[in-house]
Amino acid sequence: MNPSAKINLEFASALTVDDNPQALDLLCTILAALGIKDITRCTSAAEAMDVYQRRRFDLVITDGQMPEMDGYELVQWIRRTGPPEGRHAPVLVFTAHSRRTQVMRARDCGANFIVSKPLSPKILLERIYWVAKATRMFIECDTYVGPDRRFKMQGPPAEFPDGRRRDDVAGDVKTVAGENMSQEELSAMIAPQKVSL
Amino acid sequence: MSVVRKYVVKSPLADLIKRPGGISAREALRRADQVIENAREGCLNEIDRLLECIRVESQQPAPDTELIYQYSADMIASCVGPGDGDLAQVAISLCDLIDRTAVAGQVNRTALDVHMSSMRAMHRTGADAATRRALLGGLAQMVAKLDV
Repeated sequence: MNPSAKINLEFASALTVDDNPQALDLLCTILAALGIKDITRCTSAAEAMDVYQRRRFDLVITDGQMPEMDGYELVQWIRRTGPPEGRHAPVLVFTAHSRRTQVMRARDCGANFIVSKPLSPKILLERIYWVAKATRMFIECDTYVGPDRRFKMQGPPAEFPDGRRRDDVAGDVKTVAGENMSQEELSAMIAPQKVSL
Repeated sequence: MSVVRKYVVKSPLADLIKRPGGISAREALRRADQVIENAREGCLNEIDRLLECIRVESQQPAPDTELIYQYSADMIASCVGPGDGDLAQVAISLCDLIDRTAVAGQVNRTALDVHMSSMRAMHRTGADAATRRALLGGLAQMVAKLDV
């Protein structure tokens, strides 16, 4: 981000959610320093849902891990069953550590960005700037509602609306060549082996 | 097969940030860094408290690994100072360790002790960069070996 770029967050409203009061204090104070004046604080996802049903926010920032209902579930609620006028709000999820079992949930929740803690003002401002400028398509299907996740590694779809890219491989499955491997050969491929580290 | 809808959403934030006035990104970051600086002592005290909580819990006959995980995750959030990155790495490593190896009420005590020692070495001490790198490298190897 260009350091001399002007950014005006004075008129933006933000909903912040974290069960850790100290972390929430710090987040809100940093947001205020970045220029946001209208900041609503919630210490649980349930409280955030209650507030979200009554008003619209320009930005939602939530902790990922919270007791009872976590941040990923909150984002899913915002995207799927929250008030229709608020379903597309930019959402940033901050997480201290993602358990292996949560990685897929984090990916699939529909957040614009998952950001690692500890909080960095530079990263926070960049992500706010990015979500404001984002031109990513919004995707809605049975298993996912949120911004198109495929932008990072592969770039945006080359041709809208079918979404396929010039370098995508063809969808046709070719005829199998050669003999099938035996079960013994397959088992040998996946058998645990001792390795030296 | 599910139906996929794709459409463009323009965030109201895009118009808001372009309104006249505002401040430069440089100035916004300077102010935010000042906030971090002001919060520094409180965060250091919180790290002290969490280290003590982890130490006490880890010495229990059957440590509550979920509680230790939570303390460690909270510690990561408190590592906001410019010199806290290495400590945050140790806390992340401890979360990794618990996530990968702990089953209810059981944790590899040696690995836990090594993490505690590393945290103490990283926090409020003058450990040099080489020592810090060696500690972090050793921890990463240990957690990888304990991976199940």
